[in-house]
Amino acid sequence: MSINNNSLKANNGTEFWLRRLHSLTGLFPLSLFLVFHLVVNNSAIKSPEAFNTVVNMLRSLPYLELIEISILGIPILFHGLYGLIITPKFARSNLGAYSQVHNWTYYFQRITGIIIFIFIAVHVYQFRFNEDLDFESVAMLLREPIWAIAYFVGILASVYHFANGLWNFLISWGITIGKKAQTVSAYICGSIGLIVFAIGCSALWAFYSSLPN
Amino acid sequence: MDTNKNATESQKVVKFKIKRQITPDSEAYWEEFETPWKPSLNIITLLMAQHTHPVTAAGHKSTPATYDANCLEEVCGSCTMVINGRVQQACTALVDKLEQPITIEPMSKFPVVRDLMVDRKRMFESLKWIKAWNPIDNTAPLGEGPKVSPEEQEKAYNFSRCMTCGCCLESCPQWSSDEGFIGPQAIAQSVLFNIHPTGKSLEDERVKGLIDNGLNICGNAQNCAAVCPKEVDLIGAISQANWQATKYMAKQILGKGH
Repeated sequence: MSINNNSLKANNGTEFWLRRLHSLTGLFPLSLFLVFHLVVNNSAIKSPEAFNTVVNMLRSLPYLELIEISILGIPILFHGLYGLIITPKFARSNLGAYSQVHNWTYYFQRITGIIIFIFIAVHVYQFRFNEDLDFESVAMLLREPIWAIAYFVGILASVYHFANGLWNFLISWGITIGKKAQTVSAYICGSIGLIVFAIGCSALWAFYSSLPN
Repeated sequence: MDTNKNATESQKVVKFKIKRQITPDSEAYWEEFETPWKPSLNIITLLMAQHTHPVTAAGHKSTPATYDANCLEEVCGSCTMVINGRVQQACTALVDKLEQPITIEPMSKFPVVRDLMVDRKRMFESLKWIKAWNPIDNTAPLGEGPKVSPEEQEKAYNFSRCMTCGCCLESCPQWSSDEGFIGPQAIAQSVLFNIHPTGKSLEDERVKGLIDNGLNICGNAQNCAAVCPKEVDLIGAISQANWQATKYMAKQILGKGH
């Protein structure tokens, strides 16, 4: 590094708007969809038929492709790709020297982001582009311990990223101002995360423990 | 600390390593030194001992290590360096509380001038980006300024403790001097000047300064607040600035900006 001051540069605010958009897409629609998705999965607890009914109902929604691309595809791609661009550009982990709790949550937010990106790609490939998707085809995959573990990790990473992302969102938009408000919001976001995680795991368990017909 | 003055105590030595760098562009290297232990040593006194006797532990002749220091009571910020891996002021880093050999190196995120001395100019530049002043210049006398309430004074006092030392920026996993993130130090000063009734008139310009300089690059790792030696409420400052930016955004989008 030299003492040349030409290295001092201001960006023009684009970064700010992209960051805010990144934060916003994380909350809406991605977080809402995650919760919706994990809750709906739980129809598998009731019976395979209940799950199949819900799948068929969702598949028969009007303008399905339009909804999927605009509400899910584009936001997921933007949030994921922008995250993958800015993480290596800015993040320089220094946990060794500074190991307080939010430096860890910051670190895991980025690690889980990378895991989720890969997980979603595999997940969409396995289930969205499977035209004959029903309870049995999902269960056939998830009865294999290796895939059950992969989905467990996928759910864990997604829910962590969601709960910690929610905590971050509240700070980045200036809603929780100050240490006290942020501590309270950490407990609230953490509790929401634990509940959503339990919901996600219960559906996974329904598939994993189901008997082949 | 007890003041044992027996023979073994007086022969005790302090081992320390200094990261040396002769010119801004040359390679850095480590040198090891030893100096007799005395009660109440701090890092500045170690460096002064190295100046009086610039000979390495192995007995090779060296040169006095360059460092910046001024007040020696943790209010000026100039002796900030990385000691045993953690950024802090050399004047208040006590030898007896540090594991040996003590490693002393310059801050890694500012350009090294020589040895332990870095160029902290970037922090003073960023204060210009956010107009960190109260606008009182005029061609005619403006009279008395508005009153500042005790509550505002108390809030402002905390932010005014900032000594521009650079600890927050050094420990931030997102900040580097050339990637367009203004960093917690200037964000807190922006909030400080927005508290003042006169300074407030520039609030929108300050917030624009923050927005144009990557305010939301902050990743909420919150190391800044953990290392700040003056306990400046950097967590509060950043979230407050984020709220001011949210309001500014709303004004821009709804067309109520200027």
